[in-house]
Formats: sequence, C-alpha cells, structure tokens
Amino acid sequence: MTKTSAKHQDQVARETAAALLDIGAVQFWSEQPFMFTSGLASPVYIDCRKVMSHPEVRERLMGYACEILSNRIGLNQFDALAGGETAGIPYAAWMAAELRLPMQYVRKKPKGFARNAQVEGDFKPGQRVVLIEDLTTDGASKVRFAQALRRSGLRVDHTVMLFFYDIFPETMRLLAEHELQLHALATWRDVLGVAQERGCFEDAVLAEIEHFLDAPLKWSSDHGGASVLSI
Amino acid sequence: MFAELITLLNENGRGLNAFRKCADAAKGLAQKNPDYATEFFVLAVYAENFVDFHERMAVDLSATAKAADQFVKVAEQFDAAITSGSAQTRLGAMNEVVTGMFAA
Repeated sequence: MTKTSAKHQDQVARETAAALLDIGAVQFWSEQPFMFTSGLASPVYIDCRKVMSHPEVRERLMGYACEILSNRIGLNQFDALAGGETAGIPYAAWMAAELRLPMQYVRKKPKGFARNAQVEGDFKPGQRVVLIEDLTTDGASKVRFAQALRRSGLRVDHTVMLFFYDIFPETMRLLAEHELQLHALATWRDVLGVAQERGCFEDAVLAEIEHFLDAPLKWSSDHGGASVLSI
Repeated sequence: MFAELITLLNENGRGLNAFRKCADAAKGLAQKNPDYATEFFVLAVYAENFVDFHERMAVDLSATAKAADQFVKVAEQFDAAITSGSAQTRLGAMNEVVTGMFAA
C-alpha cells in the first residue's frame, strides 16, 4: 500500500484551507460570537457545505479525500461508503462514484414505523463502511452515526471528512473509545496559517482566533459561552 | 417537577447538545411521570425543535441564550401551574406555551 507522505499531507491541508477561505466558507465573528453544539462560544464558524457549489474546489477536495481512502486507509480495508445526514451525503456520493463503490447514508434519527431504519441503501451484515462527513467539531455526531451503523450490523472503523476543528483533546479520546479513526483534509490551524500568510484579515482578528485555538474553553468562558465541554 | 431539565440544560452548556439531552430526558421523564406527560412532551418538542432548526447552522450566542432562557421560563411556568392544583391553569399554561412556539 502506498502511504501518503507527510509533505503531501501538509500540501493538501494548505490547499484545502486556501480553498475554504477562497469560497467564503470561513466566517469570523462580528457582533456576537458563534455557538458550538457543545455550548462553547467561538469567534469562527466554517460552512463546508459551500464546497458543493464550487465544482473546481469540490473536484479537487474530493480527489484528496479519495487519496485518503486509497492511501491512508487502503481500498481493501472497506467495502462501501456511508454519508452522514445531511452534509456528508453528497460528499459520500461523489467519492463513491469516483471509486465505483457502493454507498449508503445514515440518518440522525430512525425513521419509519416498524422498520425504524437509520441506514438507507442496500447493505449486508458485516459489510465494512467508511463514514463520510463534511466536518467534525467535537466528535459527538460521528460517534452517534457510527453507533447507528453498527446497530445495523455494519462495521465502521474510519471516518473521513473535509475539515476537523482539532481544538479539543476530548474529541480524539472520544473517537478512540468508540474505535473510530478520524481522517481530515485540514484543520483550523491550517486555515489560520494560510490566513496569516495571505494577510487577508486584520491582525486583531487573527490574534483573536489564535487565542481561541490555544485555549477554546477560556475564550468561550470569557465571551459568555460554556466553560466546560459538553459532548 | 421540571427542575431536573433546567439543571441538565445549565450543566451541559446551554447549547445544542444540552437541548438534545433535555429532549431525551423529557421523553424518559414523561414515561416515569404519566400524570405530567403532556408537559414533558411539550418541553421535549420545544428542545427538539431548537436542535432541528439550528443544528450545523451559524447560530450566535445571543440566540442560544434567548432560547435557553425561554426553555427555563416554560419549565417554571409548568411547575407553577401544577403547584396551583388547578387543571384549568395547567391546560391554560400548555395552550399558551404551544401557541407561543408556533408563533415564534
């Protein structure tokens, strides 16, 4: 199996970060901080769904994500891709089409009387799937999706996404506890690095983001958000 | 009766995860307290609606704080109505809360 080099991974992270900035997926706070699902206040918000609307960026990032599947995970290590409702579904579809793989999607909640289905599409018990998502903040929804897939008899060991916040140590612990390995194209540190190089934001804005990334719980608490992470 | 939900909301950061936990807890508490199941149902729907509406959106701190304060107010309103001992007051409180939810 060909492993992706650290240099190439770094290049992918930088290009992904630059693309996310270019398409306006990154928003910085103006009057009010944003709030994460955990209740933490944040000066930044990212909307990876915007990637869908930019064909050139989409194609490039899907190519990188497919590289993760083939080089970091290994195409012989899984049988299908499962998109997480809703933002993970289009990305799973594009990647499945590129790699000619079967695909399912997993709902946030079961649906349908009696059937109570949470995984849609054809699958067999024991089938190995990779969970595809647009991003991960604290990891809680990845765990919920993985649990739903496993309840349906599927095996899921890996999750691939465009963006990972990578600011809470608890996230990796949580995913490890649930035997889920995370692979992402870029993190906030990559976005901050590219933004600093380009000088496309005021120094004060970038400094604020750096304060947040260095100590998210303190920044949140100082700005009216939660002071502990609730996953 | 509903203090448990307020505590849950406050102890879990008053964000979407906290609302999700409140919705799940309210459903369980409705089973355990069938005499107050309707109030718990309304609170579960309130919390679930908030999660469904704001999940993965750029929700700002003031909107979340306002919703959390409103949830606490509804829980306290239900508590007061139950304490009054009047079935009419309980029904009136529920109608008022549900009307407010649909108007929002």
